[in-house]
Amino acid sequence: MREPLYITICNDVRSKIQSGEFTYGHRLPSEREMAEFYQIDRKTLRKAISLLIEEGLLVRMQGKGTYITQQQISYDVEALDDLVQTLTHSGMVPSSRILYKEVRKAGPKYAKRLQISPDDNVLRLVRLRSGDNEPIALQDTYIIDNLVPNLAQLDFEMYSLYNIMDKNGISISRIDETFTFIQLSNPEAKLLKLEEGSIGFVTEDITYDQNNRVVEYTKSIINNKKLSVNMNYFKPDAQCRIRNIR
Amino acid sequence: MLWRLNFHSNLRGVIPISKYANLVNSSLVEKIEDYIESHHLTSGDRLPAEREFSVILGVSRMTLRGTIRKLCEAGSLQNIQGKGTFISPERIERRLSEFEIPKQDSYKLISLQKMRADGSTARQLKVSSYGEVYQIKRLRTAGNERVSFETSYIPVQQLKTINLTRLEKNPMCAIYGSTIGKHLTKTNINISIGQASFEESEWLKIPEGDYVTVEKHTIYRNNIPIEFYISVSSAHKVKYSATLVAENHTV
Repeated sequence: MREPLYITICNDVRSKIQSGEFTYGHRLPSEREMAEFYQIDRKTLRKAISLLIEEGLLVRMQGKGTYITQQQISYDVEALDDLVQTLTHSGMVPSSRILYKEVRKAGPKYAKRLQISPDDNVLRLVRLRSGDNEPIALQDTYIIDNLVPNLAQLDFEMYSLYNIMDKNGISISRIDETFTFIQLSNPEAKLLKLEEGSIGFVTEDITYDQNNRVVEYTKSIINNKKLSVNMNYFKPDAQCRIRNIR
Repeated sequence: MLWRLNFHSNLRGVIPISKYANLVNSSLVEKIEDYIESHHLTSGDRLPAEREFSVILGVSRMTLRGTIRKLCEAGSLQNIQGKGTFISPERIERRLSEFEIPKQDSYKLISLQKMRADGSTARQLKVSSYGEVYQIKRLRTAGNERVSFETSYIPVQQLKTINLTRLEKNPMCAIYGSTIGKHLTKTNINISIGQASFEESEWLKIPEGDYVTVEKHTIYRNNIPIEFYISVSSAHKVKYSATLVAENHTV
């Protein structure tokens, strides 16, 4: 089976972006120039370009041409608890906006995840995390109510949850995480500045403290154009190590 | 910080701003999930008809429809035209933190060729741009399910002879043999999303352009990359899981 021509072109342009031949902020050569360079018709070229736009490597600006977008930030799983740090490392200014906050009963679903009784209270936070004011992740967090005194009164826009836990002598020993990909609809898509029907990735984390108690559960919907998952694991214990946990 | 909401000191009963009402109101989702669990419904089972179900849950049919649509988009439910709403097949779980491949998984060899590494492969394997590599394309299956289309690149110098029969059934780490396998020290994995190319769609039996997960694995032996492989799977079918352990902590 031979690769269709547009895939070959697409791969070539991608590798030129990855190798730095085409860099962020630059305009792609015009359609005519590129069609001439590759010796293909414009229709095939457009097909290749639209694939790269889908991938988030290129962006089309009305009346201006096609541009190379900013590199995806690598989402290091080892430091995954701290989105703030991930963003800071990649030179972005992180911010967190609380969309919703409530104290509620855990109910059967979250009781199971948090290993508590359905009648126990939990603090729920819905946060929009951004880097340089561009939305990156929408997080729905459920925290056990008795984690620290006056949990609900804390300012989660100023302090990260891990920061608060650290100050209270709670350290994280383990995170169980799953990733899936879903099709987004509104209002989630809109909040992440993505189109309805585009794809985002979803992580679900269950965090354990030093006494093996579940302290929180977070479901995050992540703009996959902004973040990709990256992880390292090591033999012999084949365990992924969390670094810089804070 | 863009802006901040002010909250009552007593947080119970805070009313969400209407804009986010849909987003934060997850109680119906929880009710549906609770119904599924308490009725022991599993993949392939049908939910009660809309009219009946809306009565059971005590919500309007329109509200129910909207929530069901959300669950369909998230992949946990499936709507089949004229037949009703069904529980989706469970996603195939990939444990990322394990070196061993699950027993039920098998491989079918699609092609094997010696070639010169292109730029990006060469960079991953830290070989020179025109270094010789083996390119091995395989289909990974779990039971009868076609799961992933995998393309491996191995520097020729790392693998003097390839045992073809081994390529049919085994994960790569088994192919290296126990002596090399023991010294595999580190794997780096990067997961992103893409769209199925023609070849991938043919092998995975999904429409061309469908969303796929793209895993890029670089396997190291004594800190030297010995294999780079790309695994492409249907985004609707897989689920990844990992256990992350804090440094200086043992479970």
